[in-house]
Amino acid sequence: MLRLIPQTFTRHHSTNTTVKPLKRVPSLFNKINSASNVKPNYQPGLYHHPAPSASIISTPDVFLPQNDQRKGLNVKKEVLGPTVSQPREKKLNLTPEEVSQIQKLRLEQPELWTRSKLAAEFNVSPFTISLVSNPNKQRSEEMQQRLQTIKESWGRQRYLARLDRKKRAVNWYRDE
Amino acid sequence: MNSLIRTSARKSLRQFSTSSIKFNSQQIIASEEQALKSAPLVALHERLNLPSSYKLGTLAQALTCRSSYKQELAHNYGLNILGKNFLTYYVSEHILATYPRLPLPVLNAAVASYISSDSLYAVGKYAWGIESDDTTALSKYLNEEAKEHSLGKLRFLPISQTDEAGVTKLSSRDRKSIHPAAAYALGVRSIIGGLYLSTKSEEVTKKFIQDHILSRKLDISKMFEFEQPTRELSRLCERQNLEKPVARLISETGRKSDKPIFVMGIFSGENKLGESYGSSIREAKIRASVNALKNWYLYKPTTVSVPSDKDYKPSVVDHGIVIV
Repeated sequence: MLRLIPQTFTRHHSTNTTVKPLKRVPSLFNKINSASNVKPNYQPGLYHHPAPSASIISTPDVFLPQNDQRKGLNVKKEVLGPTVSQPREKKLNLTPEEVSQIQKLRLEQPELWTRSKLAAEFNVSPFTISLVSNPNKQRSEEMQQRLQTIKESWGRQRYLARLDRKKRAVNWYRDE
Repeated sequence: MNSLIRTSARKSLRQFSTSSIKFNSQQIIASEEQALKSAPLVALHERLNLPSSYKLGTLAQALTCRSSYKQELAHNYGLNILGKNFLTYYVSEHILATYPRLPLPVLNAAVASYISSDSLYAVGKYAWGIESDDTTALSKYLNEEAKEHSLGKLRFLPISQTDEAGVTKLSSRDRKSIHPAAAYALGVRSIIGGLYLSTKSEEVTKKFIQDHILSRKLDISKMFEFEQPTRELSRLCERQNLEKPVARLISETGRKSDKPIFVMGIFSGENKLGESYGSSIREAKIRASVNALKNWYLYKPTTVSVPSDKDYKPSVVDHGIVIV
């Protein structure tokens, strides 16, 4: 049965021309803002412009339930690439003395003892620090003020770019 | 959940059969002779390939909403409840059997995507081509349109969409008026309810729902949004007794340019759980975790059988969603 399928395919004249890749995606062209850019002028026809997403949904073997027929049939030994971060030993418990020390340091010397510094000192995550202690009110207000001042100095373009970045980050959590 | 829907479907069936006697004495169902004179009605019957036991009068009833001006005709409210129960039952069991691990919010969203008013509106209006009866009595008279012609059109009192400038409406909105989408949904559900009443066959009703509602494409993988994907994945691995998930680079390009691309995979030991891309390592890591979680939740058994099948075999039942 399989032999009936031709092993090689010949292209005829009608399909012989290769499809050109799309070098630049045409975007909205604004006469004033984009005057220095050359407007892409594509001739009508077929262009190769593949979709950017490559994530496929396929359940790996370890995620298959025990009674699935496919279990154990498609086990691939992957070539392992480099890791980007080493999983570190987490310290899950802080003693009551340590907690009160963290609270004291964070309230009394907020400039010196930031969250990340405390996390490094007590070998826990910054998230744990925020769970066990409250920030210094005066300090956090001051930091908010500084952030506000920075944001006020943004022009329209930077403001839009930051907004766009936020919108793009939402898509990370959907993987779309 | 399945058994719940099933019992509720049976309960309402009983309610329906008792209440239908009540309004049959007051309101009439159009006779076959009258109904045959309506071209759109006969066309709709043929188009939907309905069995001959499905009377044209019942189809006309399915297209008559409670707010219709034809007060003497029986309306579709009871048929609609019956159809709704069939739809909910068959659609939920189909999705649950196809994707046994779906989290409840996604399952609800998926069921709603098939049977919400908006979806049924699209089915009724664009797939089945049901017309709404919105010409005035005067224009009907001037067109010399037969009285029975409009039996094949959806009859309802639409809510007024726009207010006229300079006109203040003093009376409150008519309670009976409904949105076109709601009216179409009523019509579609009633046609399904009517099919069961005419054939008395669950199999035929199920086949009809599979052909017209479940055949529509729905991409469930686009319904997910995770709050803490990396954390959720490590909790999942812990629960399933798998090794801790580790993010590894698979390939990258242009690290020092302004448009770098990183392709990363999430590995548990030597097993790859998910893979995705990103323009920063953090993005790629989060996307890959999301992909791994989708690979878990969107598990599909090789053979899908639903509880209403004769040779039903129970599928996967596991621990449910990951609690972070």
